[in-house]
Amino acid sequence: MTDDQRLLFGLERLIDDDDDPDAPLPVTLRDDGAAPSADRSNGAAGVDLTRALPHLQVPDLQRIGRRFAPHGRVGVKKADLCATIAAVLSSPEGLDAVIARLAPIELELLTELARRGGAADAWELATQAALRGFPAPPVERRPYAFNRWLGNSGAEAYLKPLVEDGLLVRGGSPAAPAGVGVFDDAWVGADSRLLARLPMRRPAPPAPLDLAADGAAPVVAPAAAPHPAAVVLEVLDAAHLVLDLGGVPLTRSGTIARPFVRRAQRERPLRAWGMETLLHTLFALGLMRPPSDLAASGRAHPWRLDRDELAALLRLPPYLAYAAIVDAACRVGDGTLDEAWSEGLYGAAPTAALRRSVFDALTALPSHPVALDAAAAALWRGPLVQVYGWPDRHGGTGEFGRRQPSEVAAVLAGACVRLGLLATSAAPRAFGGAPSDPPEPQSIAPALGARWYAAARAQLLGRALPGDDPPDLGAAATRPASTALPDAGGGPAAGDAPAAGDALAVGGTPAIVVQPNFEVHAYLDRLDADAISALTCATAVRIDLHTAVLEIDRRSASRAIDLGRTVDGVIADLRVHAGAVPDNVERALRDWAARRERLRVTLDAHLVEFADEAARDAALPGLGRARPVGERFALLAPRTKPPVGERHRYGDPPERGIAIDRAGALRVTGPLDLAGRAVVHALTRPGSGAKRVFDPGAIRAGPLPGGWRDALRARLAAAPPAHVDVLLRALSGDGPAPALQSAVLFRHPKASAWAQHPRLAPHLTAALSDAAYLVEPAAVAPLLEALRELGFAPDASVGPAPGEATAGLAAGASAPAPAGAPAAAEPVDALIAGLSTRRIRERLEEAIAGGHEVELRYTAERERYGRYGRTLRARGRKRTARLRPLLVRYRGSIPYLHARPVGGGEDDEELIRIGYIEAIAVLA
Amino acid sequence: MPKRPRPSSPARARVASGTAAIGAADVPPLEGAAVAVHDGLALIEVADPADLAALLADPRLAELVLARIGENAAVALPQVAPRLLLALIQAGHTPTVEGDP
Repeated sequence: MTDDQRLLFGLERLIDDDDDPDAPLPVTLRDDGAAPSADRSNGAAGVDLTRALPHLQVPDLQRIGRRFAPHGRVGVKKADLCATIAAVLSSPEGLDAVIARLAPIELELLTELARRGGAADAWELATQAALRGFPAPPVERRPYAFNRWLGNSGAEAYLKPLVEDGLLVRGGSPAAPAGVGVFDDAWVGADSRLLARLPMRRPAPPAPLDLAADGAAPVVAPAAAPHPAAVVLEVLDAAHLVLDLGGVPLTRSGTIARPFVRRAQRERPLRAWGMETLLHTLFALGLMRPPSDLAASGRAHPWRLDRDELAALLRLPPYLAYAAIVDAACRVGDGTLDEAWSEGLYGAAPTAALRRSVFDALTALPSHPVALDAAAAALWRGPLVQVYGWPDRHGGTGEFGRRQPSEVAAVLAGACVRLGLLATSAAPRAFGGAPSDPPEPQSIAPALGARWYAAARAQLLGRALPGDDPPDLGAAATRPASTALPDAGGGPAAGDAPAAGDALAVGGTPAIVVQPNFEVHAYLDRLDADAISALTCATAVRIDLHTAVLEIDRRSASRAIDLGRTVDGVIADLRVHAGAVPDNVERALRDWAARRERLRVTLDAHLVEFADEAARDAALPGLGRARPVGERFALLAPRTKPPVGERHRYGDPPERGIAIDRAGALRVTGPLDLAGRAVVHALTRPGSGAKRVFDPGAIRAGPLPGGWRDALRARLAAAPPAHVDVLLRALSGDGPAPALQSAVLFRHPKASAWAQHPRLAPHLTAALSDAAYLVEPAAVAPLLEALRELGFAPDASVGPAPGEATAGLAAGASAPAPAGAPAAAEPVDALIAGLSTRRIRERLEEAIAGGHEVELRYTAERERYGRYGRTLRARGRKRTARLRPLLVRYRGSIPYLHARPVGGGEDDEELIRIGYIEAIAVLA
Repeated sequence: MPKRPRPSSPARARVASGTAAIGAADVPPLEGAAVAVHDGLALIEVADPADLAALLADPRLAELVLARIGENAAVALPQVAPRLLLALIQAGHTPTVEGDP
C-alpha cells in the first residue's frame, strides 16, 4: 500500500462538515489510570495473563508459547499451550529466562511499565522509549483494515509485537483488571508476576536534542514565565469561584453552560480569557462531583466542588500539586487545535496524547533559549515522529509519514507557556491565528515549571530510587501540608509545622503580607502547601508571574469556613505565614464568622410536621437525633426513617388537592403541601360547609408576594373557571378591573354596507353587528363631516322608537338594552325604509304634532269603479315628494294621510294611503 | 416556511412544576392528619426573627421562599436552592450551608 493510499484510507472516519471548532467542548473527567499517583501499585495487582489464554486462538497461543518457552515442547492443543504458558508464569526461573531473552527495547518498555506501577498509557510508553533513543521498529506489513489499534503509528510498532507475544496486555483483554474495557484501548499492562521479576534500575535520561544556541533568536528571560505556584493559585481560585457560585451546571451534551461561563468571566475579569480552560481543568483534576441524579442537567442540578478532593490536592507539596494540574491540562481540549490534529495525518492519536508527549519531551530541550520553530522541528524529527509517524517495513518512517504537523509548535507556544513550563520571548501564539507578515521569530527556553514537572514525574513514576536526594526545588516547593486536620479548630499541629514566625526565617521575608486594607500580597516562590491553604480565606484579584494580590472579604472568609476551617484557624494560619495580621482585619474576620452563624441553610432537609408543639415535643425523643424547628416541626437527621404520615416530596410536582367550582367556591379535595395550605389559608375564608370562598379584601391587601396564583394553579385538580381566574387577577392587581364606558355607535339596518363607502370606511372599523359599528372617539368628528358631505345631517337627538333602537343590534349585541331605556338617537333627514304601517303612522303623527315636514317615498293609490259600481283601489305610480303632513284619518280600518306638498296650496292636498308609504324621513 | 415553535413560557413551566414560590406566608396547622413528612426542602433558619423578616422583605429572596414555618424558619423548594444560595450571597449574607442537594 502506498502512502497516498494509506492517507486515503486514513479518511475512513466520516468527516462531519458541521463540526464547529469553536463549539464548546464536553468536560473531560479525570482518568485515574493516567493521573500521577503516589500509589505505584496501580494496575499491577490486577493483570493476569492466564485469564486471557483460553480466549486466544491456537496460532496466537503458539506465538506466546514460543516467547515464554522457546526451547520446550509447546504443544499444538489449546489446553497444552495454556498449561505451558501458565507454568512459565508461575515459575520464577522461567520468568527470569524470559527476561534474559528480552531485547533492549523490550526490557526498556517493560521496566518503564513496572516503574509506573504496571499500567500505562500506550502513547506515553512509546514516547519514553523514543526519548531514550529507541527508534520505532519495523513492522510486518498487514492488510490495513487489521492494523487499527493505535492507527498504524510508531507507537503501535513499539508495542504490538509485545502484545502479540503476551508480554503486554491491552485494554479490553480478559487479562486486564476489572474496569479496563474495550474502550480503554490505549491502556497497556503486563502480567504482574513478570513485572515483579524485572530488575529495577534508574532509567537513562532522555537523549538531548541537538539544538545549538541561536545567536539571532530573540532573547528569552526565563523569569518571564509564570511561576508554577501561580498556576496552582489560578486553579485554586477557579475552585473557590465554583464554590461561591454554587456549582457548575452542565448541558445535556456535557458542556459547561454558557451563561455560567459568562458569569464566571464577569466575576474574574482579569482571567476571563482563560476561564473556560480553568473550569475544564477542575473537571479533569477530579475536583467536581456530579449531582445525585446523573441524568439530570442544567442549573438546578449543578456539579459541585468536591471539598475532600480539593483538600487532598492542597495537602500535596506545591510541585506535586503543580504536576497534577499539568497532567490534567493534557486532557483539557483546545477546540481549534484538537480539530486540526484529529483531521490531520496523525489524527488517530488523541490530542491529549500529543500534549503529554510534548510535555515529557521538554526534558530533551537544552537549557538555553532556542527558536520555537527549530525546537518544534527537533522534537518532531527526534522522538515524536517515532511515536506518531507511520513506520514502514524497512524501519523508521516513510517520507509521507514524517511530515511535521504544526500542532507541535502550537502546544509549545500555547499550553507549555501558559502552564509555566516554557518561557517565551513573545506573547503566546494562538493556534490557527493569522501569522504576522513576516512571521515574528519566537524563542523558548525551559522555565522553572519544567524543572518542577520533571521532578514530580520522576518522583511519581518511580524513576527516583530509594536513597536519592529530594529534588532541588527549594524548601517551599517540596514541603507538604502539615498533618493537622482542618477541623481540629486550630492551625498547624505543634511540632508538625513551622511555629508562628518561622515563615520569616527564609531571608527575613514572609510568604504573605496582610495589609490593613484587607489586601493580601503573596510571594509565589515562598509559598508552601500550608501557605497556599492559608490563602483560602482570600479571593485572588491579580496573579502575576511571581506575585499575587488577593483580597479578604466576607464571602472569602465564609468560604474558608465552608471548607472546614474555623475563624481561629484562619487567623492563626495568616499569622504563621504573614508574621502579623492587622487588628481591623482580625476583627472583621471574627465579625463575619459570627454573622455567618446567624443564618443556616440546610439542603435536602426532611421535616416532620405535627399538629401542635405539644405533639412535636412528645414525639421528638422517638425520632433519633431530630431537632425542633419552628413551632411544630422537627428536622430529621440524615438517613433517619421518618414516621408514618402524610408524605410530600418537593422534588416532584405537588399534589392537586384543590378544586374551584363555577360559583368561585374553593374546596380542599386532598392532602396539601405547605405552599398549598398557606395559599388557601391566606386568600380564603370559611364558606358554607366544607367550602371556602375567596376573600376579596385579603387578596387586595396582598398578603403574599407574586407567584401565589401559579402556586394555586399548580395545586388545582382542574383549571379554574375563566370568570374566576379574571376575578382573581383583577382583585390582586395582576389584571385590569372591569370598567363601563360611553360609546358612539353608527347604526343603520345596513351599516355593514355603509362601512364599505370609501369616505366612511376609515371611521367604521369596529363592527358590533351588521347594523351597528362602534365609532372611536377620535373618529366621531371626521365621520360626521363625511356624512354631511354625503348629504346627511345625522341628528343624535331623534332616535328610534323604544324597542326599535336595538333591532339592528340584536344580532350581535351581548346584552339587549334594558326596558324603558331611551332609544338611541337616529340620524335625521334620512329616509328610513322597512317600517311597519303602524310605525309610519306614529312618525307621521309625531311630525304633525311637531310641525315637521316629511319626505315620503310612496305609491299613489288609484281608484276606479268596477262593473257593478264598486270602487276598486290599486297601486299607482311610485313617487318621492316632500310634504307637510296635516291629518291622519281612517277609511274603515285603513289609515290615510292628508298632506300638502311643500310650496303647494290647499288645492294640492293629497290623500296618501299610509300602507303604501315605503320610506319616510322626518325633516327638521 | 414552518412556523417556529413558540418558546415555552417560564410562568407555564413554573405552574407545571409547582415551583412558583409564594413568600412569607404562614402555614396553618395540619387538618385531617396527625403527622406530615416534607421531603427534600431547603430549610432556612436564623438566630433572630428580625433577621428572617429582613430577609423576606428583600424581593429577590422572598420570591424564592416557599413558606414560613416559624418565627425563625422558612423553607424553599429544592429546585431553587442553588439560586437561593446565590441570592443570599449576592444580598450580602454568608449562610452556613449544610447537607447535600
